[in-house]
Amino acid sequence: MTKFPLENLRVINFGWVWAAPVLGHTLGDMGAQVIKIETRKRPDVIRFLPPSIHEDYPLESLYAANTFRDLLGVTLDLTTDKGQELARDMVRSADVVIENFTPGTVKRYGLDYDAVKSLRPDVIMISLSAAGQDGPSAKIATYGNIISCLGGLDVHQGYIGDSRPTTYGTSIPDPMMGILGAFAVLSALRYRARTGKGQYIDLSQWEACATTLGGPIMDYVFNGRIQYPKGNRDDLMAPHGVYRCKGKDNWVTIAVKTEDEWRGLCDAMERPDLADDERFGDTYSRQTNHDEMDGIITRWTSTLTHRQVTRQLQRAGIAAFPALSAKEAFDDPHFNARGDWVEMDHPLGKEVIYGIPWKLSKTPGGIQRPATMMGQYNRFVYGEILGRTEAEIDAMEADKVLY
Amino acid sequence: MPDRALEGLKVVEFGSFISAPFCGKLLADLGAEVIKIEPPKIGDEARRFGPFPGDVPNLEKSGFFIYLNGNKYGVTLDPSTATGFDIFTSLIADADVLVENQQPGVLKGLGLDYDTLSKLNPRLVMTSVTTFGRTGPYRNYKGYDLTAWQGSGVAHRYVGEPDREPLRGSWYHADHWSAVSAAAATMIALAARDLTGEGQLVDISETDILTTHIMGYQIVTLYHLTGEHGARTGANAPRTGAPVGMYACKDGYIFIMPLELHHWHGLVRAMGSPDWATDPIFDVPSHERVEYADEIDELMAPWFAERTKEEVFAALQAERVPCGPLYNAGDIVEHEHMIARGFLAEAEHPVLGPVRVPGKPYVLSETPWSLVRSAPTLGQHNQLIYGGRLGFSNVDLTDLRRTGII
Repeated sequence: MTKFPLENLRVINFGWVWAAPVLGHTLGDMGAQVIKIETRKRPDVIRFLPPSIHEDYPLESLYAANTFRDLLGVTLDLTTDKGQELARDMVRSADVVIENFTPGTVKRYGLDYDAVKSLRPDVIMISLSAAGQDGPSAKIATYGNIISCLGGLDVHQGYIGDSRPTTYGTSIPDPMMGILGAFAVLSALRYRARTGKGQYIDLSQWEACATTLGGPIMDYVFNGRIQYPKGNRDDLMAPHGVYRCKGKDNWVTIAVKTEDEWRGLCDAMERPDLADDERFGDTYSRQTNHDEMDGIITRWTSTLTHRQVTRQLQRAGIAAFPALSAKEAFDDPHFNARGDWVEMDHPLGKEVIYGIPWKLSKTPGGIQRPATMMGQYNRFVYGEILGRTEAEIDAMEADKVLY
Repeated sequence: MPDRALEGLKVVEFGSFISAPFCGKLLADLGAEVIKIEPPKIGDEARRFGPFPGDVPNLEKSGFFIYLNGNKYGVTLDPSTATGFDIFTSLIADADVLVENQQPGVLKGLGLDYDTLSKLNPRLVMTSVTTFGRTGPYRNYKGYDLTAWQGSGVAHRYVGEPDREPLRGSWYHADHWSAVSAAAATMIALAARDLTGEGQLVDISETDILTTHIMGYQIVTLYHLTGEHGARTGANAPRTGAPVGMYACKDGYIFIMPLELHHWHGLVRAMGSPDWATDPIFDVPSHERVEYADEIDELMAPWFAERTKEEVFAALQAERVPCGPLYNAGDIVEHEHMIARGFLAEAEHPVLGPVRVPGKPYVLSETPWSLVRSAPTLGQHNQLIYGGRLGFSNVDLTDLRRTGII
């Protein structure tokens, strides 16, 4: 049985930055042949955001090292006639075409869906734009961090009562958008297998973010109410928080759902009296008196490490777990046992990158190639797949068509 | 009605709250038949979560439940009873996919683990969403969305102020993102089944999903190369580019990211090319401008403060500067762009009448996303599924109801 269930699929990825490479490698990790089109005229911004994997190669950033795996990178200047001709040839052999330019851009390259469809009638084409292909804000310029702000992720994250808004130290939506795009593409492929029909997918990242805000949006729809950050608290559980432990920046999460769990926590803290304390008699009371309760819990957790609290509470059936630091997450036996961190031989040296995020018991897929370097697969793609001769490829390189 | 992409796909959903239900929703919205199994009497937790119209709790009026469970069939079942177990396995025998998010040990306790179910139906794709996954040292640990944010390392590294506790991220986002991953991985497993004829177990761990993609996209590699991994820095500093971040406008905030040099030039033009901004020392790549980050912020602040967030948004976008205002749920659904694209969808709910809910994340040209029916009331389709599909008589159904099995 094959490990790679998508091995018969060819994908042409005109996309860049973060979401589109993730969509590409999500299919590539499962065996699809994914060709990533790039140009030195305007390199993918993700390629040159420092640091890079090797100081002499500023275009091989660590972002690229992770998200450009299982992609066959070729250079191609789509503003040239010859470049567009090659792009059309690639599209003719493609099952899936991915792009995430500003709406309207692909039309200038002769690669809009109507054009792509005339070259390959059953193609699945997906555009991952900020705001969709039509509507008054369709052409806004953004990055994932901005989608996070527009799409309501940032406004629902923060400490209770802080007036100054916070943002994430990274772009949270990008990888999810790549995976959501992969789901839509795979669904369209299933439809194609049944009917022979391709189609066009217009994914709006702004709307997709908003689909994860069911509670706040429904509160607005029903009650006209605007919700604000709840810190680490929860509407269904209490206590529900992150508590200081012994050591520097050492924290543990505790989430209590049932009365049995609350009693278990009281016992663990050696405060059985609290189980009968009416201030904490049910979830509602515990929510009302959360600050006071947090003080009591912290007095206990601060005498222990996050690992000690975790072992003790999980044994009692309570959802406790360390707020792992980056180092702890990278060294953690669990994530390592599950193959979340994988060592690869990159042409510029050994590296550790993230593995396959989900575990399929029979066809797990796997990372077959480290991140593509700029133009690394020009000879393979233009020669072996598109049948151009060495001399033709040399000439196109000299003419900066392959640039 | 147009064709639907996943027409013919039979899914059983045995889960609660977000991760399994949102996965089931993604499948149902593209046409899969999703039978949602809820515990009798109390139902899915999301029914108790609300929000409720006028804040009056009612299992049939939770907005969040109604949103997450549109397009599904709803049945009630207690699989811990002998008859309940038989009914569950009858549904599985005929299913392509089972999506579940029970806490560790629950399915095994019910005798409904993958090994048992796959013998009954070797073509079954079983998609399991848990906090830590089905293997590894923490496989038996209990956890929730909070646990995934914090346990993955993402909160400690990226969310919150350095001197305060790490924060979970936005609204149950670990649950939602894991559901999206579960849906994609389920489709991969179905593609595999087309090749091999066999189903498989799809093991989704919420901590894996967050840690691979967020801790992994850059700093895991940095850590192994140099030992460095950074720390959470709070709202603004230290920065990898400048100016980058959240800027205060007259009526709110806007996030700007002029990463490329032409973005900076656009920002300068939008601000009317003030003298300070045209100084050549700032005409350098964004990461070199970090040296002057505080100075630039101070010089820019008045221009932002004198304008509304929408005015700044329009002025900067006219110059192609990546930016966007800080929007809340009301701002989003009332936005002219969202209205123009028809973001909110509406369906007739059996109790509340027409209810508007968040709609499509994508448009598929041949097989459009569609909300065909509102979420089921508790046990709404018992008759249809148990009677019509499994052949139970009305007398049987009354018995099952009386004994609390459904």
